[in-house]
Amino acid sequence: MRNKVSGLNECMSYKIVMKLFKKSLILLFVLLGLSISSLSSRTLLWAQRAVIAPGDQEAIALPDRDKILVAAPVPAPVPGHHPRLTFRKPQFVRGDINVDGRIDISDALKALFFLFQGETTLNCRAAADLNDDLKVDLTDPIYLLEFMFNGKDRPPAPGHVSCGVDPDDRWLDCLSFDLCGDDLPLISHVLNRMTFGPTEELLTRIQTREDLITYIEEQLNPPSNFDQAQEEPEVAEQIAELQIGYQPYASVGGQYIRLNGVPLLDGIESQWQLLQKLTYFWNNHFHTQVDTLRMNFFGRNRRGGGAARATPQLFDLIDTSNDDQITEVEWNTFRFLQPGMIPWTFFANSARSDGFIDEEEFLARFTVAYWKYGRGVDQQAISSEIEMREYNSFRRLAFSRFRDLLEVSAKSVAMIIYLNTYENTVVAPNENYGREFFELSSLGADRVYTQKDIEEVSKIFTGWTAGWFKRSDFSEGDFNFQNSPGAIPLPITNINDLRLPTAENWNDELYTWGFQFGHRNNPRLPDGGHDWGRKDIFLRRYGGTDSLGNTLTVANQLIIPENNNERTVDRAMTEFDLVLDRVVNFRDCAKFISTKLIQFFVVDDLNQLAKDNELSAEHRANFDGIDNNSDESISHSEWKTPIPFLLPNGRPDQTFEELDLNKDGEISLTEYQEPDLLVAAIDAWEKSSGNIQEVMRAILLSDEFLSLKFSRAKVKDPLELTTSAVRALDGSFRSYREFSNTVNSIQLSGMNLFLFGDPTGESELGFDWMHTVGLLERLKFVQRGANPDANNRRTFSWNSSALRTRFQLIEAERTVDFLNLLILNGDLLSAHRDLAIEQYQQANAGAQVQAVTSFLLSLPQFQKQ
Amino acid sequence: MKKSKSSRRHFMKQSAFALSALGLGGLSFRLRPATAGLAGNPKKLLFIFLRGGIDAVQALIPHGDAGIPGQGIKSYAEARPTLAVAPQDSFDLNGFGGLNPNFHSPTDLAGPKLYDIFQGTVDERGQDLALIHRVGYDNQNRSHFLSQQFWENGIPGNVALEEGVLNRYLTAYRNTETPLQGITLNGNQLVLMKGPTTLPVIRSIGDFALPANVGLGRRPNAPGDLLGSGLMGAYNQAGFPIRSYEELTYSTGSTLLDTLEFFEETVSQVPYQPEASAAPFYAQISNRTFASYVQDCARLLKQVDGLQIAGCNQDGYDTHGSQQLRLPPLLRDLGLALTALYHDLKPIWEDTIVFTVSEFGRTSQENGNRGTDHGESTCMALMGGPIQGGLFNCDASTWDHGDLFSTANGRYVAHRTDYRAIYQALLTQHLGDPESKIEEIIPGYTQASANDPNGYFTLPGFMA
Repeated sequence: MRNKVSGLNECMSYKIVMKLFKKSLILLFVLLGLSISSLSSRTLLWAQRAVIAPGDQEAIALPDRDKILVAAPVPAPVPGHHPRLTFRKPQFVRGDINVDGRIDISDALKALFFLFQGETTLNCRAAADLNDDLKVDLTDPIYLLEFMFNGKDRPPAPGHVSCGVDPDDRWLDCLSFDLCGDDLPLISHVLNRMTFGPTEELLTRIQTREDLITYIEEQLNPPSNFDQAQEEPEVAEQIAELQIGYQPYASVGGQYIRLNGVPLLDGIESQWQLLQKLTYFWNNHFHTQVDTLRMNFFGRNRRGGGAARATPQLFDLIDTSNDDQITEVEWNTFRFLQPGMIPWTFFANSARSDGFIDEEEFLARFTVAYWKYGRGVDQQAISSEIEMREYNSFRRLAFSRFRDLLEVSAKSVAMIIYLNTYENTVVAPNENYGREFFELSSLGADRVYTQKDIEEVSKIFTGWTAGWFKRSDFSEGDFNFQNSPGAIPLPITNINDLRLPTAENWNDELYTWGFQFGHRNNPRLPDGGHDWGRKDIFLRRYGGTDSLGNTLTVANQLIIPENNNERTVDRAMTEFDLVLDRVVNFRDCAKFISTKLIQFFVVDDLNQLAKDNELSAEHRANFDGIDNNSDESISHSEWKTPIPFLLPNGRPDQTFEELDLNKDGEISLTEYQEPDLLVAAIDAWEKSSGNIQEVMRAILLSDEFLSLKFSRAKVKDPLELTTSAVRALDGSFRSYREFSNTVNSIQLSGMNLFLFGDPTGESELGFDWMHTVGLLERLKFVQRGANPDANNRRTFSWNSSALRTRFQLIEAERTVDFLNLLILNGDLLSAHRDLAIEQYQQANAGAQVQAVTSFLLSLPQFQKQ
Repeated sequence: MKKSKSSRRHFMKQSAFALSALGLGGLSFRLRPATAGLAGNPKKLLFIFLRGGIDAVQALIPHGDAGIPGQGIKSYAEARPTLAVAPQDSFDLNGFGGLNPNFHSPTDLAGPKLYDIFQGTVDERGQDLALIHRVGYDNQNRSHFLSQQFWENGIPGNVALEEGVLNRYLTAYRNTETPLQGITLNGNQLVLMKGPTTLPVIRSIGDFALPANVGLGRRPNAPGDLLGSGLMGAYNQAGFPIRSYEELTYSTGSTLLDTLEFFEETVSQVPYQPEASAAPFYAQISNRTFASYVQDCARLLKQVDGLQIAGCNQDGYDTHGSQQLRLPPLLRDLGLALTALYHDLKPIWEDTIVFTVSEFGRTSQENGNRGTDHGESTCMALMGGPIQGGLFNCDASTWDHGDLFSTANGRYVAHRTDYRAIYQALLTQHLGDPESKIEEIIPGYTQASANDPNGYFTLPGFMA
């Protein structure tokens, strides 16, 4: 029915068209007699705009390459009406049929000559399909003429003022349209950085630069206080299936592997890619090592995990009848109150065969009670749960104010254990966290603070520890269990070194570890073990200097007076709030975090960023203040000029070394100046009180990021390598073994994630990831996923045959070109293309797609982003 | 310094040819370069980086420092109320300093241990273990990251340079005829070994291979064949680099593939056992990864002629709390490793120096958590045929009472020897610096050592 009608319509329209054609020929000759200028009102010089559009080829500084190494072409669509064999759409301007950058009468002529004179071919038939009816015929030039002279509506998109793609899924082929640049390199670059790897789905959805900007904006605005279970339940479920944590999974082994797999699953599966990348960034920035939690706190005989030795005193306590025998009833009565006691059956048969245990048999058992985390797997489970909780908090706060993130990290049970805060008391100060609070979390090494500041700020953290609380003491949104000022930690019984919660508060589902201020019931630690004395932080005379060599000001000083009257949780937290406020307001805090974000998202070496803007007046004045002889250059001796009372030995050498980029012993104005992008990020921070969303916006929407200047200029870290491979192939883990093989592979590539030993967190810099150990493991990983030799070593699964069928990958060149588009987004060097074709040809029949895929994933380009 | 990959490959081919011509069964124990007269430098180094900052005064205990009671300056025993090791429990080194007993392998193993090695009573080799206290540098940094950086790149104060002293030596004296001149045993590359020459890092000799169904590919073998094929073709550096990290990525790939080929064709083909007397000591090391690293380092140094530098890490020295639980196993493992190496490296002993480094020592006063915090000067162990054994910078002439707290702020042991002076001895005196490239290897060395009013660059007499 439909065909019939449409056939009829076509027949009728043909007659109309022929009439129109005759009319239009007349019109045409009339028009030709007119001056071109009189037509210009409908002559559209669209190309001017296109040429200046960022992302266009003109804006791309392509490096010189040997002729053999120019980029290979992306697969040409197969000529025909519906080139569905690629997921990328051509960019063109509908109506600019002769591709001269304007839509005018010459385009109509080009179409007419094509239709009736057989003179030329059309490189882009889609541009000539004015009415988007998927054929080029007479109606098209007529459409154009009517648009130009008769006030007809503009042709269907794309056009008429800029390049674009056909918005629907059907278009005529467009083999080339030289005036429209290809946005794919830019899209690929941006997706490589702000996601865990481009996918076919994203590359289908994001066809143009405009689509890309829309995507960035979308990703910058995830649901606030992101709750994964609500926002993407299917990912949350996958993570829940990992069964991480103590309750109810205490017997599930491989907790650390499971934990390390969380960023992997998030990275592969989440639609909120930028959020997950930031989460990954924060979790690493505020790194805590999971096994240290076990060793320091949840292990046997540790504060969170004591085991009880059999002692004569304990024997007497249990032996309520005082007959020097413990019966099963006595044992179970005691165990009812103290669930950590071992079951009666744990005593040797020979010992309890007479119905009771005497003191000798009791003492021979050695360990008679375990804290709930008695076994290694229990300890790993609770440690992993604490880490997971912290990671989830970073995900929720990924785009919030930096102050919130810093606070969460400081009060996180994981951090309190990891960097010994729980041991830091007024009688036994421990400066481990105080140092890293400045160096790693907020200001950067030796920026602003001094050893004296570390000692002073460490006092703020005295008395902070982890306590055993009712979960209901914490508000519902307090996912890291760190704000319950009124709650009282539950007593943990301490009878003869038997440190156990009693039966009524034993259950991990009702009770948990949370931030606790103040040690309790410890006679050595009155007033909670907090140092309530005066704290003098950021005093000028300590000699701290910032990253530009400036000394501190009086306004920087933070003096917290001695507190003799009101020694409360609130007052202690106020001390910390004052420190937080002061620290995040230092420009060096903004600079340190912005620098790390730029390194993570844009370029490792910030010295490669542009410095096109003027040096700010303030920094110029700082510079002039040091440049005593005003020769526009700071010599080492000028740098070392003593500043009375503050810097008797002058400014620090280390800062001089950092500023003297070319190592000529002088700091020039340019060297002193910060890169524009860094300044923009710091400005965004200062205007928004350290709002990470604004800092990220400044970075991701900057011209420098949205260019090809740093395309594939970063090395993927092992996690990024694995996620990008799986995502490119739309792969997944079909079994726990595949999942754990992949997690192990990340670790063998040199990345330990939650198990990384140092508080610095893993490196953000490429040279730390590119080494032979890591590369060997990467090559093994991609081979065992893309083209596995043995199933038990398979790292992931993907459907190569579906891909082969959908895109007709049945011939070497086409297969290589398509997989180039999918895996390298068109960045395959032509010399490597030849090698890939060779791989296809050498592979067994049926395994060619896998062989080429594995090879492309092994290429140097794929190791980079 | 430009790398010459082609001549290196040329060597590899020749080497492979020579080996196959010999027949593997008749292969000599050591894998020598085939080209006569290009045997390379026989001198070798094996380093162990003690990450986290070893508590130097707990390792080499200055019992002779009585403190200055009148000024409230404590002795070791007073400063370490819970951690101190009594003189009678440590091994006396020179009447002043004592060796932490954990070094002496307190196991049921028969045979000589570290203190015996120190005393030179093991065999005819004599005293070949030097223990040097108070090594550091001016304006010592107490950040792990920064101080490790300085110890590795050899330039105190240079935060950014990810380039190691050892790599710079091998770059300055690159021997393109040697298939393997330096190697790290670790999960990733150390700054000490990073630099202009991409050096291999491997986890273990045992599992250093690609999956069975992927080949190494082939180098170009005909005119017009620009890249070769397969992975070797993909990582062929002709025409590169272009963008950041391109050169590193390609050179890492080609180094990996060359090394895989070298191992596949040579190292793995040769049956190997450590010296019988070393095996029990290796077996007792509790950290099995560390044991494997050390053992593989020794094997490669012994097997591969021309391999000059091999090394690994020992992690875990950042003992802020519960040091009495955490430090002893580390010292025990280190003592066992050094003892095993003493036995295992016997065939190349006269050409080899084993040495340890660490980013800093720790606070002299123990903290409230029975641990110690970041400090300043640290200690080093050096062992080998070229070493004159003894305890240095820890006797009455080099250590005054109260020196336990001798830094300006009175918290740490001040240094007496600049670590670069020791590097200089290892690199130029031992490995050899015939072309006087010390400035290339340790930039700023000449000026620093010339302008040295405190004598930090005056070498303690540990070089035989």
